[in-house]
Amino acid sequence: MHSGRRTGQIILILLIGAIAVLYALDLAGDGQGVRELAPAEVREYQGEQLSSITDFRENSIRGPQHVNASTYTLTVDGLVENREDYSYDALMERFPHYRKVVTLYCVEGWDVTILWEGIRVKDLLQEAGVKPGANTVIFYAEDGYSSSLPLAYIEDRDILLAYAMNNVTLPAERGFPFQLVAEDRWGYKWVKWVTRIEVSDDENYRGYWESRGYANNGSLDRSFFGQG
Amino acid sequence: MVRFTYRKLVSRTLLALTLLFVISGFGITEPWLVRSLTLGLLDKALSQQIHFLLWGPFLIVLVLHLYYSCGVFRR
Repeated sequence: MHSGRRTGQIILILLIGAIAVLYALDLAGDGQGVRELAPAEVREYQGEQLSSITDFRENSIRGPQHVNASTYTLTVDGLVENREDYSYDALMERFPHYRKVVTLYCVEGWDVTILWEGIRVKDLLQEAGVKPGANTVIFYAEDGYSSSLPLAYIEDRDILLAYAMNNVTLPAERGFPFQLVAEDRWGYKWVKWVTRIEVSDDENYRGYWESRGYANNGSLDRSFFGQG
Repeated sequence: MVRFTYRKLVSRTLLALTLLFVISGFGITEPWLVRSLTLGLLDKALSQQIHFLLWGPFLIVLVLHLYYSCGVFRR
């Protein structure tokens, strides 16, 4: 009887000792020796082949913008009940995250199919409270670029403000910290480096390329040229 | 009597650690939900810290719990 108890106590002490040692080694190892590497890009999602992050062509108006996440602010203003200014961390923590595969079609003739992960624009607008009479949402970027989309388009669909693509945080070249995923719209509607979202009643607002002759609608089933 | 008290203490501690382990796990994967459920107390960063720190104490208490529950060693 006593030997059984003694054996049990020895096993107990050995087990606890082993766990304590492993735990201490784990704690001691934190922050030294191991460095985080960039996560690997996924190239297949639910059986669907994905393009690579490197398949994009750089065609921004002023080159890649390098936005600092710690000082970044996204402003939601215009025809809203409450103007909102969000930090990067606040956006990441405050809103539900979503992911879906969407293909970007560029007017230059290339396309990329990417697994996008982000927050929904309509969740942002819902928190700000859209005022009656609003019909347009204008997206402004760090580099001065802008484009607009109808409010109904944003509200009827799950339009993402993406922070990751193919499971990798957006690189600066791809619009870090946030790129608009304007599905079923030509690439010039996919605003990168988004810093401000303005809710407006000006449905004739024309963004950077729209004011230079591209269609305001930007729908994939229509030509990207013209006033439509 | 003493053993029973220890057993009870270990069981309660294990229950608390298990709950904290699960909640902090959800705090990592569903931060917006856990943050709102805990009234902003448990955000993603804190959840991650707690979850990563908890495995040692959790395993030790689990082993103690098994020890006190195992009939062979109690005889």
